[in-house]
Amino acid sequence: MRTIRWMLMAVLAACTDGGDGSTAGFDETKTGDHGLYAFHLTSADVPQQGSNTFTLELTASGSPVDGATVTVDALMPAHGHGSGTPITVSAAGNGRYTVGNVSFTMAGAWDLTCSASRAASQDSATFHLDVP
Amino acid sequence: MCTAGGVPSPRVYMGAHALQSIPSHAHRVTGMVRAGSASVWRSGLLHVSWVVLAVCSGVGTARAAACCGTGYGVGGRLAPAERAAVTMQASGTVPYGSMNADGRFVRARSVSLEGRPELSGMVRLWRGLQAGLAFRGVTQVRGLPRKRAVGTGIGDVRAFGRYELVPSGGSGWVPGFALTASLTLPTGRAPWAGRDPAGADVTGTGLASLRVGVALEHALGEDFFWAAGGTVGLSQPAANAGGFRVEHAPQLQVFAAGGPTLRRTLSLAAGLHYQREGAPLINGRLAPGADRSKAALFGVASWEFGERWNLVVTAQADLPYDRTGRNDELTAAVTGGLRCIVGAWE
Repeated sequence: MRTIRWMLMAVLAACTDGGDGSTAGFDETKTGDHGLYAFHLTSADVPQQGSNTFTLELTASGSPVDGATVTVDALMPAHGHGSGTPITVSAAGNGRYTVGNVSFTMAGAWDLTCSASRAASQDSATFHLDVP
Repeated sequence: MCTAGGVPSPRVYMGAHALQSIPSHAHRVTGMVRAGSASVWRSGLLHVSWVVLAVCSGVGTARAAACCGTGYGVGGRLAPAERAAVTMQASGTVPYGSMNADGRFVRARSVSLEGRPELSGMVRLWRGLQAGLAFRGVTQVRGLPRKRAVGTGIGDVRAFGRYELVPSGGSGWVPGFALTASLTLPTGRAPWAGRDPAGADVTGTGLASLRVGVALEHALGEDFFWAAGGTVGLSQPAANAGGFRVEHAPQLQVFAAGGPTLRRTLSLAAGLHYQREGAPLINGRLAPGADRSKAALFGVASWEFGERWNLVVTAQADLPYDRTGRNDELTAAVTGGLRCIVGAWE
């Protein structure tokens, strides 16, 4: 069984694209649904199947927003499911938040909904991604 | 593993190729033979249509099945003189790309393989009533740019049934007509329950689903048959699909196929399958642009050998055509299977 597994791994290693088919990462800015915050989501790599890491830059009227409670949800709307692994968010300072462990379990169109709240204000924005 | 079950002559129900060696007593025990040699021919041809139906009930990957639902509801079928059949099959599926919400093709940047061994059985409960069960395992190997992952487990269990209002294999131009139903139970691991970031450990839909439909089958002359059908599927709402409440829209599926029989024991068929599903409700709100549709071409080759065996090879590929395929993963699949007839219907 272990031999078969390694053989399959070898076949896949020979066939896999290598992840460098495109060097363009993800970079998009959206205004929140309530118009309170601007959400700037970036990734050095093209979003792909498996675990991904993004950087979310949160601003209000051009000023960085620190100390916000940020949550991120991944959803494949057409298929009606997210992924089983919890997404992690950690503050990186100057209005930046590192969004890690974003798992896209299959290819297709995914939505990444970022929500931010601070004091009594709450806003969210949804990004549409095509995962190859 | 496969026994005759006290059947006087298995050749009687194996199809037209065995006609020359039907013993006289067999004529007394099968309605198919009583109908004459032409009916035997038609039954032999229609015998192949179970393959088409099986193809239509088996395509789709486990990961896609979370929304497609496993099985198109038509299930398999038994030829007119068959009492029961057992099928063992294994399939391999490779996603080669996806269609985004705008209907644009996106080439796959990772390599994935999905293997599915399946054991299914079907029995004739009464003259026109057939029922069956299918158990499958799922193994996924995901070759991602930065990671390799392997997952395996039990897939969803599927029960299916069929009631023939107009028996297939009869004479004349009236096609056989059957009502079909399929119930999928979520015994596999749901997409939102997996722990592998690549989804390699996802083996099922996570949802129970019911699918009902109709199937038409007809033999034209002595060496060609066609089959067509349609189903509508309903899935239970997902109360917590990874943090979301999801209510799927009904899913429509239609298919048509036909083909010749060559050399009496080799049958070929080709067909087209199409499915469409409206956008789901996510947390009570309609998800914009999240409707799905997909078309696939498939081909089937079935070879009868021995007295009760069929060897079946199928190939299927989704079509990357404009908006047909949007919001879905496109795959190519090959399936090989052995079908064993167990007993004759008298």
